[in-house]
Amino acid sequence: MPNYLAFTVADMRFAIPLERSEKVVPLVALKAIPKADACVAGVMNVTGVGVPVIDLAIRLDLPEKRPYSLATSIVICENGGQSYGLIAERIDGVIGVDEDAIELSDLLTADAMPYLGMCRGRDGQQVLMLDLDRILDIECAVLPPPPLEAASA
Amino acid sequence: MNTTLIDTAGLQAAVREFSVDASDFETRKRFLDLSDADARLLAEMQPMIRQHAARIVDAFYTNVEKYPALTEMIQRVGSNVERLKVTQRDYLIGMFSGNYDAAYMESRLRIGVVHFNIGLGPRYYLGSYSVYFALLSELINARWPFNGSKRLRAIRALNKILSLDAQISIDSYVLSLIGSIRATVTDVHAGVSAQASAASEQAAAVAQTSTSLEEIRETSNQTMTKATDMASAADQALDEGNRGLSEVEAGVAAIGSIRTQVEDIARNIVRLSEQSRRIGEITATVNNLAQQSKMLAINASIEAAKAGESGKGFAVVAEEVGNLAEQSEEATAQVRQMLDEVQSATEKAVMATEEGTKQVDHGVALMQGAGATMASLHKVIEQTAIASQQIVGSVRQQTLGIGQVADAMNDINKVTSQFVTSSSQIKRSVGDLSGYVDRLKLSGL
Repeated sequence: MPNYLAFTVADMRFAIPLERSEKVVPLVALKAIPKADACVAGVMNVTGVGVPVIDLAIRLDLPEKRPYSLATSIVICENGGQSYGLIAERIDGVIGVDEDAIELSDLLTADAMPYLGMCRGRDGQQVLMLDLDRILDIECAVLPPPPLEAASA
Repeated sequence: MNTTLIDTAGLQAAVREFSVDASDFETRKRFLDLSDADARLLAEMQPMIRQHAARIVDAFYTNVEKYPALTEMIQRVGSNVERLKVTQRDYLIGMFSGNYDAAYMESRLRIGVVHFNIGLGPRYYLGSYSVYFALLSELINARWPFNGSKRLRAIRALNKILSLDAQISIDSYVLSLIGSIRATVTDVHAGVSAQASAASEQAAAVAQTSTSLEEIRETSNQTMTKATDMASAADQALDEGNRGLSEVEAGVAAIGSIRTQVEDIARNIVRLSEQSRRIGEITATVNNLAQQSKMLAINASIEAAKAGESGKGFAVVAEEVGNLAEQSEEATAQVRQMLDEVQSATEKAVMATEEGTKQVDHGVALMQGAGATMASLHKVIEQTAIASQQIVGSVRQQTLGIGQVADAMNDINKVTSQFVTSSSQIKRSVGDLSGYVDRLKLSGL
């Protein structure tokens, strides 16, 4: 059973493949990027590398947008050799997903929807499985700037 | 005669008293049986008398000079024997004028008045008449040695005229005496009356003064009572003032100790606040550690999952660590909440103590104000007490003085009434004297 890393954003449960998750870091002050997509919250420095951080609430246009607390974390994941950060209000941990139990895949993968499908978490809650390629691809039009000098992690 | 010796008013009074009128004079002569024949006989003797007058008068005055009382009297009235001799000669000769009328009477009256004024008593001038009789009868004997009956008639006539003269002189002397006594009596009477009325007035005035003094005494007694009351009230007020002062002092001390306690409380609160702040810092540090641990645990579980089978044990450990971190976070959250409550409570306590201190300061100020007021009140009361004591002292003095005056007034009153009594007695005596005098006058002059 492949593992997924589950987390919550704006009261919605999401999950990404574990193999593509690098680590979780606490929320840091992000440097804003002018002329970037609205969903790009800013850039952070992770071990000397500039990592763009995406606000999923804006990216997915979630209804319950709200400001983030200090308990918020950033999930560092990779896409095509480039690291990205996803703002997560709460990390729900690693879950094993039964590929046969994935639901609504047809619906959720239709058109340009950035989902892979829906599965169940440990407590039976519904978890949307994110299609990282699509999520991180769409905003690839804007390349992140070179690494920052000031320590922000 | 020396005219100043004649008290004209006295003479005129004597004349009036004597009622020199013809009828009275005639009565006298008739009583003496001094007839016209006697008068003619006396007139017949006049030349003889004139001839011997000087000698007779000398003999008369030789007798007079034997008596020092008489010579003193003559000197006292500023006369001398020579002048008197002249007068006497005229007197003798006049006695034999043969004309015994009102003028004659008046001249003899004059003699009596003068005698009274110079103090020549009846003893001497009545005596003189017998001296003259002795000397003049000798002459008569010598004149008619052989005419016994004529001689007898002449002696009788001489006796009558001498008697008439003596009579008139005595009468006028007595009348002058009476007049003098009367005058004295009137003066005394008037004086006594004046004194009596003055004494009555004085008695009335003294009685009034005594009444006023009694009123004053009463008033001063009341004043004294009031002053004494005031003095004792002031003493009481002084005692209470002292008590009040000590109470104020106790109050100030109590407030002072309250303030000290409040300040202690405030200091404790500040220390408490400081300690809770440090606790807050520590919990913040713990919280930070917990968060990092959580993050670590999450990352560890990710790595463990990636490691697959070989990472299973590690995954369990990672999850435990995560749990512990979460518990830690919850615990620190609770501590944080409790610290917040403690913080707000201490803030309230600090505010309360600040208020308390302010009120204590206010209270102290009030107390000190009260203390100052009490101190000045104390002074005023002290002064009042002293003043009222002084008043009592001076009122006592006054009362004493008034008492003495009242006693003196009483003495005056007694003396005055005694005086009034004796004045009445004097009046009565004077009245009696006046009565005697009247009787004397009426007793056949």
